[in-house]
Amino acid sequence: MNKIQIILIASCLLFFLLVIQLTRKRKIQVKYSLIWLICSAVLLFFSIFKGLFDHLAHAMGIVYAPSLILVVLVFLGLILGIHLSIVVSKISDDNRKLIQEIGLLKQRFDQLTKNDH
Amino acid sequence: MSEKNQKKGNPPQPRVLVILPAFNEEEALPDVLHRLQTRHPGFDIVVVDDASTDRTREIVSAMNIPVISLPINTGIGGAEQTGFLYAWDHHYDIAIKMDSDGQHDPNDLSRLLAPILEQTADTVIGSRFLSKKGFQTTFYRRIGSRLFRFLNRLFIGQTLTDPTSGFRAYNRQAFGLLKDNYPTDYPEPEMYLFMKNNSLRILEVPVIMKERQGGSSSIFGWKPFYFVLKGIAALIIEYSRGHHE
Repeated sequence: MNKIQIILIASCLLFFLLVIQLTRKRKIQVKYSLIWLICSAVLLFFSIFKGLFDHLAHAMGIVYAPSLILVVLVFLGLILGIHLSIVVSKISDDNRKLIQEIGLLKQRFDQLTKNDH
Repeated sequence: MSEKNQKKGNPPQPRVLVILPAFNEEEALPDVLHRLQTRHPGFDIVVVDDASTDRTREIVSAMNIPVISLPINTGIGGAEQTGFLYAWDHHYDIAIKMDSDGQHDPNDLSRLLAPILEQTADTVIGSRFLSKKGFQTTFYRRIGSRLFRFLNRLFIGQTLTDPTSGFRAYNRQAFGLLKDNYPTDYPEPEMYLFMKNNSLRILEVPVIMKERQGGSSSIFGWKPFYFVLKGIAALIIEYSRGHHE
């Protein structure tokens, strides 16, 4: 095991623990921590089995193995980005519905209190 | 009300609320509500309409039963939690959560309530596997139940035969805790660990469940795998949180 591999494994573990800690403190919901945990598990897997990564690069016809790291990272980043976009879209949709609902309720409430007087 | 009675020294009659989360249950709900009212006229009912697209809300309203209509679908957990908030605000002593699809029998309510009234448990789960009678659920769900039964024994140290059962009774202490902190997704295997971590006593009693009468189950397709994965992660994280004071 060489230096860079140890650094890689250590940072992956650190990242993994950070996600778990944030979930424990309820800063991240379990639901949304899953994707981060899976990503860090994949990264951890490849930093432990470094040879596998070289083989994979070779099989994919990549001459310079480290460039596959970039490909994988960009890909993971894209997936996470899309996932978050989906979540944000859902939240903004829900938020709009809530605002409208409260507006309608307020109008009804005002009308009811007016009738009381 | 109950607090006033206690001050006067009268034997307090516990106020019981039955919470029925409903998502598109116009077919089964009227019969469930009717049987509930005939069998337990002293219990109050609230239906939490989880943004149904059918006539669930109108049907319940027409029966003069309070219905909370959520503008956005929040999932069974979110709907149930809304019921806890309602129960808390309206000073109920006991909250019972029942499915609105007719799976749960109102005749079992007394059995569910007994341990809470005797103060031997804070939460009572109606288990279809203790009685071995009636509808025993589908294949996938049975595997899920088995798995979570094992995990519960591992993490909680108590065997829960039917951890995915949605037929439950809570005392005020229990739903008071859950109103602030409740898993929003179904199912909620980490919930019992969370309750144990908060020193709540959990007990199972046998009930008989029927097959659902209308609508469709909330779990299908690839979802079981996601739920199992999420459930295990949630259990581990709740376990690491440890005992709360």
